[in-house]
Amino acid sequence: MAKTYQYCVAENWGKGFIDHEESTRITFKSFPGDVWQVPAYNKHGNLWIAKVAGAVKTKDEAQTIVTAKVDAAQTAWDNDNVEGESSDEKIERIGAKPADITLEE
Amino acid sequence: MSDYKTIHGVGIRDYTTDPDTLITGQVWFDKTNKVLQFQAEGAGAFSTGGNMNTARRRMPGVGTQTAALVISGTADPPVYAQVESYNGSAFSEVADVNTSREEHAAGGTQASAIVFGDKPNNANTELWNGSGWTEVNNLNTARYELTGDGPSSTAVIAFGGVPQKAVTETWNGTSWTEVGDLNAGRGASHGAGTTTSALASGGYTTAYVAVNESYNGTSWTEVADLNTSRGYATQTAGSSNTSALVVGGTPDTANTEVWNGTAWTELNNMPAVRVNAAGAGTTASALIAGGRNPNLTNTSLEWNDPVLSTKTADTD
Repeated sequence: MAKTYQYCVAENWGKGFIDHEESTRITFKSFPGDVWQVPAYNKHGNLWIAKVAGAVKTKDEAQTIVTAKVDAAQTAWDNDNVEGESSDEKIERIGAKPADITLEE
Repeated sequence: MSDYKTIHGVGIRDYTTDPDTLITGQVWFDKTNKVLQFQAEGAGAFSTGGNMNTARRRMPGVGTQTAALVISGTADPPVYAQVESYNGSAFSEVADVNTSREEHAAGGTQASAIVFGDKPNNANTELWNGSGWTEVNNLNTARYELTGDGPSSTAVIAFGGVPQKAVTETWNGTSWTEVGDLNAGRGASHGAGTTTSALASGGYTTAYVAVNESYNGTSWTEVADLNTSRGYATQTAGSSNTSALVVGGTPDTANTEVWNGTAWTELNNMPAVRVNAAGAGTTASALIAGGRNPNLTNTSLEWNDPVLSTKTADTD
């Protein structure tokens, strides 16, 4: 099956990492671990990965990075407790428990 | 065979560099690169803005996309007193607030702002004059997770807050005055507007809600709901209850909606979920800074709608 997306790891340096023109040409998604998703087989996606010196990852490699980050965040969330605090109060204090993320092919 | 001049009445000029003053729809031939180019107006989209010096969330922003302040906030903990100023490219630290805050609200501009409320149940108010913060008269009702907005530090509206408050107050440059209550008391809602024309969307009562209320200077009226129920989103706005942009929020979403005075319309999403971020600007040109996406972040996004850009005619 032809893949729909390609993945890379790149650190967002701020202004210019994704510029206005790039944002209109392709759809970007970002995930924990500095993992970025752009369309596969797309000239503008390839140009953007080259611009940001992204380390290209397969979907499975990217998934491993994202899962490790989410697992760590979930463990930190589980361990962040205040005595006597209810579940709702905990969510109000630190937000909901980070959800699992499944990357698309 | 028809040619461009026959159809449009004008020919295509050629340039060695891009034309100085571009007009939407303009077409020209780039002699240097030997390609046909045109100026197009694209749908609203997010690009990356400068990174803040300190990652944090649960703080407000004021100003515009190119002249904004992000005020205080938390990294769960600590709660920061730091204030950062944005110039359209980069953030720099300016004078701290006197009271470190989280889940507070603000109004005004980069040069003249007001910040008020705090967790837990603080009524403290501070005024920014462009160089320092001064404590002024407190809110009448202490609260946090409240919402506020206003075009200047002498005309600001504050409403809602925890625990599920409906209280609305306006600031005239000297003191707070209680005015008409929200119909639905709630915290973590999203606000826009002025003391005479404001909007309160979403928030949390016993669950995240889509309820949307419009303020006319006297009272709040329920108007069309958000498409997606949420709280802790970022709302930026024009100067009235007819123009607002809501992005992100909890339950965690990257969703973007724009309000035109009658209905909400979904637009392009952010690259990732973002919650508790600071916002500044308008529905056409906004800044979304910090928050969590889903982890705490110092990054920012710039929203532009429409995005004007130069495109090259190709067959891709």
